[in-house]
Amino acid sequence: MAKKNAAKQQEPTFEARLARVEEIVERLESGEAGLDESLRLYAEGAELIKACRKTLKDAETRITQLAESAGGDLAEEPFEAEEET
Amino acid sequence: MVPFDATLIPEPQDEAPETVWELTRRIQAAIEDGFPQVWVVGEISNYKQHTSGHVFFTLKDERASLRCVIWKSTAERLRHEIRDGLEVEAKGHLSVFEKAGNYQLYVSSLKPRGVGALEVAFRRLKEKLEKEGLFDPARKRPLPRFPRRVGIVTSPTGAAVRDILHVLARRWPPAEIVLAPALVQGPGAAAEIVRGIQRLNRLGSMDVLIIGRGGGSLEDLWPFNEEAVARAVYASEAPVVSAVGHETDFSISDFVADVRAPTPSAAAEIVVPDAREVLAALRAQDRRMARQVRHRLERLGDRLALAARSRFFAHPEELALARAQELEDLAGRLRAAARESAADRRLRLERAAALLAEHAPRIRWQAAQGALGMAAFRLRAAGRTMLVHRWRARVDGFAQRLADLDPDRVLGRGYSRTVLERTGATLLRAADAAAGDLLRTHLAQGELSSKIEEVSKRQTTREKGKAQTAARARGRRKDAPGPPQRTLFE
Repeated sequence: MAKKNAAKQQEPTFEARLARVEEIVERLESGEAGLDESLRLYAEGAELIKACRKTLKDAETRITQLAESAGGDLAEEPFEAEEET
Repeated sequence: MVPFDATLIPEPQDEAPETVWELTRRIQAAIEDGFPQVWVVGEISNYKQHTSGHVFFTLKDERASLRCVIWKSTAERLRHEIRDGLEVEAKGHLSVFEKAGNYQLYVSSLKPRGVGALEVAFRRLKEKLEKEGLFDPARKRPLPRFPRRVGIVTSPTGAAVRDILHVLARRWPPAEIVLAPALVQGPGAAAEIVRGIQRLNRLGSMDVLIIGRGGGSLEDLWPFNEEAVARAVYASEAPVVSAVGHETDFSISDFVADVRAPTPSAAAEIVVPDAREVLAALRAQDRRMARQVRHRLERLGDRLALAARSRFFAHPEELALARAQELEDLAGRLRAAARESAADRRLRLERAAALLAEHAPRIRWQAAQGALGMAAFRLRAAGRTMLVHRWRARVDGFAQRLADLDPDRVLGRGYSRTVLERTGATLLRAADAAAGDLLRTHLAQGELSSKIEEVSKRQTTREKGKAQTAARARGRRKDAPGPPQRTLFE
């Protein structure tokens, strides 16, 4: 569990990506960036947007249920909600 | 037991007996006058709701029973569930139902027995916790905008958990959801809710928690009014959204939580953003970025076109001529200045020499004259050389800048020149070509042969400027068969 969390922390979060996109747009709109910088920023921004879109479109909600094992450790098991009767 | 004695019955006042109706009406009046406001406690039995909407039941204790009626309009406003066996307090007035010959309580308000106590307990706990600062708005934490892990404490069965999961999955698929199952009513529920909150916090990396349940009576919702639950919510490291019962139900956990949601579904909507809206915002950012870069490129293209239109592209020799003229001018002035100063110096020297000659030998005067001539020559040479060097440097600089602006140099920046094979002319307007035409494109290095697939009529400013430059270049080549412009500066 800790390893999975560590791996997740190394990858930039959705929030971080979105914040960087907003930064890039501001810099481009300020008009201060030269042509080379503008083209580089645009490429970076396009990549970030692609990654954000992928996160949203490919994701499938993961639902687990807390269960306490015999030793008192917490574990997550898959959870299926009841169908409506 | 006294035996019945008919002589003990008082004689009626009137000559004739009353009708049943008349007697009943007298009884009714007596009862209505005597019992206008009644407050009674008893157990409900024979509860029945008619199709008319009116409710009938009997309130009883061990020794007596009282028939009760609730009119439809009053019954609809009841906030509590009525069922047999429930001990309730009823308020209303008594009257007589003539047809059946019985008296009834017409109920105006009904409340389960224990509820009064519950309500007092609720108020007391709310005041106590508020004074302690558990409801302080300043400590309420903001919810993360894009939670990665959402924890839920609720019953694993029932509509509430289904609704929450459904809304979360629809709005924000990337979220991971962990459910801590707990009883949400009855004995032991509060303890399970507390444990659920604590375990989710112990699990770690929870961005937000939802605790709650569907609608119910005050007793049903009671676990969320327990002090232990309130303290567990307050102590939770992860921000908590409390969603208990219906919109009008307020629980203590609602006040302690960082956010109160009116229903479990609403909690799910509060906790995650709508992916569709976020995707739309991303699309808008994408468009803004592209627009900016496109504008930048167009503006640079316009500047280039403007520079290319400059007089010196058309007649670059003018630059050289102008400079050459200035150079000649300055050289002439230098010569004159040198002459003057030389002349001036010569004059002074001659005077001095004359003076000297009176005293000095002829050879010395001749040597002086020679030296003067040499000095004057060197002065002229040095001055001219220096000026020419300076002007040469400036002219070289202009030559370099001109070379930079040279249209061919521009090829090195990624622009290309396209020639229409069938005419051999440089292509300026897309309209001059048709689909199927062969093209030859000159790049900074090398050439390409291609065939047109499609012609688009739209023309950018950049293309217009480039067309004009090329046209002017063509015109110049026709008129001046001499050497190319650059040699003017060599």
